[in-house]
Amino acid sequence: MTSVSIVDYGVGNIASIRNMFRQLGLDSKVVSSYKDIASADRIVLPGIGSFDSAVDEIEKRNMREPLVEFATASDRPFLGVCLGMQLLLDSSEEGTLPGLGLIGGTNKKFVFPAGTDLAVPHMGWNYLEIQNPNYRLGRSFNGDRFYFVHSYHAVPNVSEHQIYSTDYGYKFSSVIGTENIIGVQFHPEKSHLFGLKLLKEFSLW
Amino acid sequence: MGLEPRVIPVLQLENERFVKTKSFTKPVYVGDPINVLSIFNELAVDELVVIDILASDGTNSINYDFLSRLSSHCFVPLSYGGGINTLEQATKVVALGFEKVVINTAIMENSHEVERIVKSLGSASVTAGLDVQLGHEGQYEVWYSGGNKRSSLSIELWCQLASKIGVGEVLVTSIDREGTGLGYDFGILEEIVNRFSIPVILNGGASNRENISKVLINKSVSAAAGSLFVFQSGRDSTLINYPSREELSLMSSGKILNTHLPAMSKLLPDPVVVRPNNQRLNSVSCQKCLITSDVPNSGLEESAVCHYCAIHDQLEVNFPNGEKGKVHFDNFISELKESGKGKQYDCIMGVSGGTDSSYLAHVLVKNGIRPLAVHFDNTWNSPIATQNIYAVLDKLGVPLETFIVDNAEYDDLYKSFLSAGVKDIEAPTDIGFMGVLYRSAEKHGIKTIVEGHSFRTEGVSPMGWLYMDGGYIKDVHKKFGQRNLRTYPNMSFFEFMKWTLFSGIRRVRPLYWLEYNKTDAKEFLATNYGWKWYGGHHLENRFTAFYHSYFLPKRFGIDFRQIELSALVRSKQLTYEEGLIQLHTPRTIEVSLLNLVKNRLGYSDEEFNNVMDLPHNTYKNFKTYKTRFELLKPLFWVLLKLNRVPESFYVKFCKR
Repeated sequence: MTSVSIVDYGVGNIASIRNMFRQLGLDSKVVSSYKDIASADRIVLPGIGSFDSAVDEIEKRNMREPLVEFATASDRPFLGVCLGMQLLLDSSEEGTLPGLGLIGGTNKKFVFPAGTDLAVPHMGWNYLEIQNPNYRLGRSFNGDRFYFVHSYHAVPNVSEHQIYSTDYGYKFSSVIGTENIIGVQFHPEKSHLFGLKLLKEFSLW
Repeated sequence: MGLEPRVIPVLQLENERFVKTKSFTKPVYVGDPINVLSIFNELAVDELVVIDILASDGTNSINYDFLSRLSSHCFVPLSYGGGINTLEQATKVVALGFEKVVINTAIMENSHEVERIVKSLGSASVTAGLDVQLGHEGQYEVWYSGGNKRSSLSIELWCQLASKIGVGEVLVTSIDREGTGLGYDFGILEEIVNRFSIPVILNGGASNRENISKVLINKSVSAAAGSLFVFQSGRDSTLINYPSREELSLMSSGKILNTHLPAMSKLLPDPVVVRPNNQRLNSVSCQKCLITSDVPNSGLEESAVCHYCAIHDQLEVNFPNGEKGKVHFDNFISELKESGKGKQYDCIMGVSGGTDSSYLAHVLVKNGIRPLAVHFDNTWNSPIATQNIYAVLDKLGVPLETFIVDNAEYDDLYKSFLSAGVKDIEAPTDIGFMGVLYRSAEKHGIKTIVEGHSFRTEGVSPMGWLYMDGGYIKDVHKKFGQRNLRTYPNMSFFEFMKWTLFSGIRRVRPLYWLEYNKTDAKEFLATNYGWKWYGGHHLENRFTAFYHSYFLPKRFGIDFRQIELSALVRSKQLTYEEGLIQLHTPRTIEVSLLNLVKNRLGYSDEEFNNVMDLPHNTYKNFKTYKTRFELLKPLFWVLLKLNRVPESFYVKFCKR
């Protein structure tokens, strides 16, 4: 029975993610050392807050190398959640520091034309719409809803990496992925049954 | 499809209990936080806000341990507010599983620190709390520190300050309206909504679900409510409720909400199959039902047909249904109406959200009776129970009174029964329930308690399997309890005699005279009231589910389905073969339920296993009223004839 390792870098809501895996009957570990990351079966990178603060914490703990190696050197599953997803990309308009660069692209702020009534951050329940059905998730999450809370959104360079999109003023990428690496902008650990469905899927990869 | 409007319950925490204030005063207790949150979680609410009102005004410090236990059963976004003044506190709370922090006082007293919090955790994690009250000159005043201090800031200046700090959303509460149910204060909404480009949540005074619709018309505005989701009608009718997806869809007119939800059963681990600790001895079976000789008082040593079949036959004679039954029933209805003339209610009935009481409510109202519904909330309700009670009573227009036990006190009572090693861990609920019904009948001057018991579908529980009385509870608690029993509505011998002998309160079971078929009843309720089945008799309450599905079978090898299924076989609502198949299907329990029980009662896995392995003890080793009941048998025979006690009481308690 493979396990799930959740990265602790001082940022992010680890307790809720662990609780949700426990609800699914799965044990999870909290990891931070090089060794533990390298030997994990599958990794979840959580995160909330600002881009640069997060990158800073990752650098301080020397986690960049083991994380990148884990994601690229094997086909073991790697899930980035919320800010953890944004970190998968090269950079963010929110900050100046480089992301993990595992998926090419950047993160942009929600900007709407004058007179649009939409508030930033994007906060609340919204839906997924399939963009790339050939990715390993297929269409099974099309029309599902999840809890979002973010001001910046991922913009991958390659369109195949845009797996599901969500509509907020315009369509943005809510799920990105390539092979074993997947990022979700929403919070599965706060999206009750829908979140359980996603984490269960991930645990079976 | 796009961003959905949000409808958010706001829960007030006071010393590890949920309460509901009225204009920030007069808190009323509404339940156990862990159970309440898990109910909302199962009802798939949009998100929840928890405000610790004693931390808000600085009385208490933030209770991190408790918050961590709270969040562990909740998989929807949780916000916490109350006493957050520093970055360290905010970070700690978020790490425990809360999505956002609600900050009020600190904005007034230390706005630089709040800016640091926003920078570190992100604006989306910080909600600014704004409490307002209408001043004498009709302008809005800003209050903080749990509504105890008044700020000199105008609304305009406050909004500027919040924007400068960079919070992600604003939660504005009208102190005047909150807890009153008099309707939202749209005035304050108008004043602030145009000053912000961030989401605004309006809170305080929600009168009904239509009132919420009015809020949701505004883009980027969400609706929050407290009383509306914790009471059924007034402040003494505690009942956790939340609109279904279909209702939310209607309430957010114009915005289409997808109503599908993934099936929970496919996502969770398989339930644990419960295997009894001891094997059941080879036993003889009754020829007509599923009772076996190892059931106490089976009578199968002397007869091929069991004692319980004989009791059933006797009850059939005393309480025929069919045409004769209809006559009795109609007489009963006329009698009730007559005695209820000039009074507010015709009778009292207990409701649990289960099939019997729900169906009974329907039958009574359909026949023109005006019942007062009484619910005994032991703080372990499942969401199905509360939703069922709400749906049925709301549609029938039946008023509700809830008695809710103190969660800490009650859990201590449960633990004392568990430590005592006896079978009867649900005795407190059964006695408490009766105690509450009698007290309510007394209070309102009502002379009839109507019960939903049906011998044809439930049978009679064996003496050796279940014993309860107020003296027993008092003694077990005295020997094993740790906390004082102050609010538990026990029924002392004196009170029991008073109510049965002097108060003239009678107890009637109308379903005895009706063609009551359980399967048909469930279907009827589902179709007409949106009532939902909870998977098994008694399983609408979590502790009762634990008791029937796990505790009794595992520890004592007792399965009450044997009693119920036998009754259904006798009434020909089930064939013998079908009953046998069901009885032989092992009992199961969800892993999450076992975790909830351990978490609430504070047992580690090891402590829990020790409790499950204690030597078997019985009520006979405690000071009960049994001897008195036996000695007073002639008196109780008279009371039985006067309908002051049910036949099952007489048969079980008064005979040796």
